[in-house]
Amino acid sequence: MAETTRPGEADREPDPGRHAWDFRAIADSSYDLESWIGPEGRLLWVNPAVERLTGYSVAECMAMDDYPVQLVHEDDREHVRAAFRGALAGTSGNDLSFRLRCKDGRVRWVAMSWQPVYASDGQRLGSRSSIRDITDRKQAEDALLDERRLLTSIIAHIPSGVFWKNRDFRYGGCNEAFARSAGVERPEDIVGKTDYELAWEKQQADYFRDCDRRVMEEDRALLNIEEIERQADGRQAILRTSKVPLHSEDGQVSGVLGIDTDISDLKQVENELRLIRAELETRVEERTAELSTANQQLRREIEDRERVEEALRRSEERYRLVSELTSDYAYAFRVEPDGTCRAEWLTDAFVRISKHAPSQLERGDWARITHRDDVPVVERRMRSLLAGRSVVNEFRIVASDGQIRWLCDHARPIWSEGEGRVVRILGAAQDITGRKQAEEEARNHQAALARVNRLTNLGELAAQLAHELNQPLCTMMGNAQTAQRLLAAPSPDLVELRGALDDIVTFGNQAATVIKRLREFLRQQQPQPVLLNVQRMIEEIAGLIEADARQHSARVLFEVADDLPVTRGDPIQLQQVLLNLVRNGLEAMSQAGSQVREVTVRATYARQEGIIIRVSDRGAGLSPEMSERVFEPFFTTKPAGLGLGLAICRSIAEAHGGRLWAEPGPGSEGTSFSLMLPVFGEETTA
Amino acid sequence: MTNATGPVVFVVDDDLGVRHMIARMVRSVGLTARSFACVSEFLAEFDPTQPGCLVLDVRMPGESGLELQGRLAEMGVQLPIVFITGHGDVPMSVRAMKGGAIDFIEKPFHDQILLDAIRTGLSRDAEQRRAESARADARNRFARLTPREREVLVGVVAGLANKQIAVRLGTTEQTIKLHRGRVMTKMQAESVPDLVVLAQLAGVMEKPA
Repeated sequence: MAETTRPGEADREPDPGRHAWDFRAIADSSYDLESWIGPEGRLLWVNPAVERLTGYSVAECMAMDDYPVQLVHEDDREHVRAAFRGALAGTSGNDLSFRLRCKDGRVRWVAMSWQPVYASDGQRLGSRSSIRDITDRKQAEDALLDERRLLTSIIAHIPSGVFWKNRDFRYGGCNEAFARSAGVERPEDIVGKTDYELAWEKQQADYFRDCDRRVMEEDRALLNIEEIERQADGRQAILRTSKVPLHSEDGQVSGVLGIDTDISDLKQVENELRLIRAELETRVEERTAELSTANQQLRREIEDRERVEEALRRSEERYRLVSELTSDYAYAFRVEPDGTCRAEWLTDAFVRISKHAPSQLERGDWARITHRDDVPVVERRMRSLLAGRSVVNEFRIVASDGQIRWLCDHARPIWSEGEGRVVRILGAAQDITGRKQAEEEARNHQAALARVNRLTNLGELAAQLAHELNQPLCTMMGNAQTAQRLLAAPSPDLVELRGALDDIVTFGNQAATVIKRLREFLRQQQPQPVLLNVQRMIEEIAGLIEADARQHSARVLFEVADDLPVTRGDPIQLQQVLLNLVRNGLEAMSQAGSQVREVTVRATYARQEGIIIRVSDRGAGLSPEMSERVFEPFFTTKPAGLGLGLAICRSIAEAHGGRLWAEPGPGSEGTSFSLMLPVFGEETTA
Repeated sequence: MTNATGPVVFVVDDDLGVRHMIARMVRSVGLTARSFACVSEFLAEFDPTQPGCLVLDVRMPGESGLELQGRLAEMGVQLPIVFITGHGDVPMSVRAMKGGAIDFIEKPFHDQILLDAIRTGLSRDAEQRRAESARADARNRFARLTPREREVLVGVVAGLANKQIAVRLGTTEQTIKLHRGRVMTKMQAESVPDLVVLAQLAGVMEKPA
């Protein structure tokens, strides 16, 4: 507050009274609160603005003892009073800010200026003061101050380094964190320095300079630059830095603001995390592997146990079956001199097994209850016994309810030296029906297995054959085409032509050899002749062909005569032949688009010819010359066929001593394939 | 193998009949054929300077056709290959075609298909050899230049004026003119564009993108 030397307005006016009215008019309408206080401290005059500002009227103010202190906010009264004392002593002052307490209790911020007032003769007339409402300004200032305090505090306390530089790359300031890393004691010490005067190496400083230049020249922020920086304390830190351009009011780039964060720890944590994760994954893999090993082991154990249980179950079942069905019976017969027998005794089990009365065997007449086919066996047995030989035979008896039971009979003759003949026959028989059934089951099982094997072999054979025939075929074709080309020349090269033709012959022969080998291979597949029930064999085919028939929307009908004799043959090979014929028929009908799609399998027996199985389709049929050609190897009418099926079928038929041929179907519709099987003598050895 | 006058069709197939047949087929259209029973037999007589093409069975005892294809590629030999196979599968043909094969033909085949593939192979081989000989020619000419002439050549193909080259090489424009004349003569270039092409062929200059 300076001592004023400049006289006031009143000072230049020698007679205030003369223009008092004019001045009063101006002062009254002033927006600010104007007042005049006499030298003794009393308010002489105040303008009406006081009421707008404080709520107190001019009259109220005039009545106050202690104007304007009385209007001042309690907390500010002290320094306002002090200023007043100064004013009364003749000082002047400017912009003294304090708070007013309005009549309604509200608080307003004001700024006051004051000067002493002098009369023309130099006599001091007191002090004038002007009070201006600065509440709005004050509030803005406060807000700004708060903001600045906040910003300063943020900058000072964030864990990142903050710095700013001007266009000449000189630091304008920084925070504590940055100062530490830059190697200066206090943030202020950095002001005016460049990166080359700080802790970093030249190379680093070059890099910083380069970044700064880019930010400022391109007026574009550089964000999240990761760099390794040697700190003032010598530590290598990994920093993530962002730099943004600073702008002056006119929008020009005025510098650069940077913020860098030490992410060394973060990086380390990241690394550790990565290691942990990797290890975790390894462990999981290991555990998974262990688990899967354990699983496999478990699965194996379960499978083993299941196998054992299955075997156990089967053997139990078989045992049960056998124990139910098996019961031995024993017998003794007296042999009369005329060779007839008379039962001495017969165990009860005989009745249980055969369901015949004991009287049926009273005369030892086994043949009466023996199965028709096994009568010769029983007769042979008797002859042997009477000749004095012990026998073991298996044969079938027909129980009284029609059931067939297999017996295993051990019999021993008792020779009388005195009479010179067999006088008694002792024996025991065992019901082996269960065993026989089990044997048959096993045989069926093996047959199925063999069928699968043989089909697989056929597939492999076909693939190998395709390859082996492809080479000579290719050679023959190529040579033939070359020969054609050579012949087209005006004077054909006869040497080359002969070479081509020779090769065609040579490799044609090679192909023929391959086919011969195939036939030999098929012949080697010796039929496994067994007693063959043709009826049953055909019945089995019905089940095997069902799916194919459905696929071709066709029906397969079976007409099997019931007087078919038993013959010998390999049921699997013969079934393959029949399946092949039926499938051919189905395909032929599909190809021809036949309306009625039926394949008939008819089996008949004629004493002269043997068993004939005829497979007829209702397809397009075959011309007479085709009827023979279809059996040639590699002749095919099917797009994907190898042309081997019928050739193989015929080989099988012939290996069985039979025949296979084709002819037009009944009523000249479609085609009939006939398979003839000879009937071998009724050799029914069991 | 002795260099025949024309291109040679090399046939490698372990099947005697097929390899003779292909050789005969090739001869019937007036081409030269040589046949080999296996890859090693072929490699023993292989001469990379002999123009031609290779008819190769994919699967053979010993080294397979696909392996030979890979081996030739490693050797930097660009002999075109026509594959033939008795039992081709898709992956195999894909591999062969990716390896740059002309065709992948299944046995038995129609003669015209194989002969067409062979002709394609031969013309590709001739094309490759022409290009390679042009490159070798340009390289030879470049090799005859003095170091200073090479510097001048680099300047000229970069499109610089004699004066600029002189400044760059620290000599007079007159000297550059003399060098430039010799460069054009030695490289047998009629014009600057000519020289640029020759420089590219010689590998002195990157091809413009």
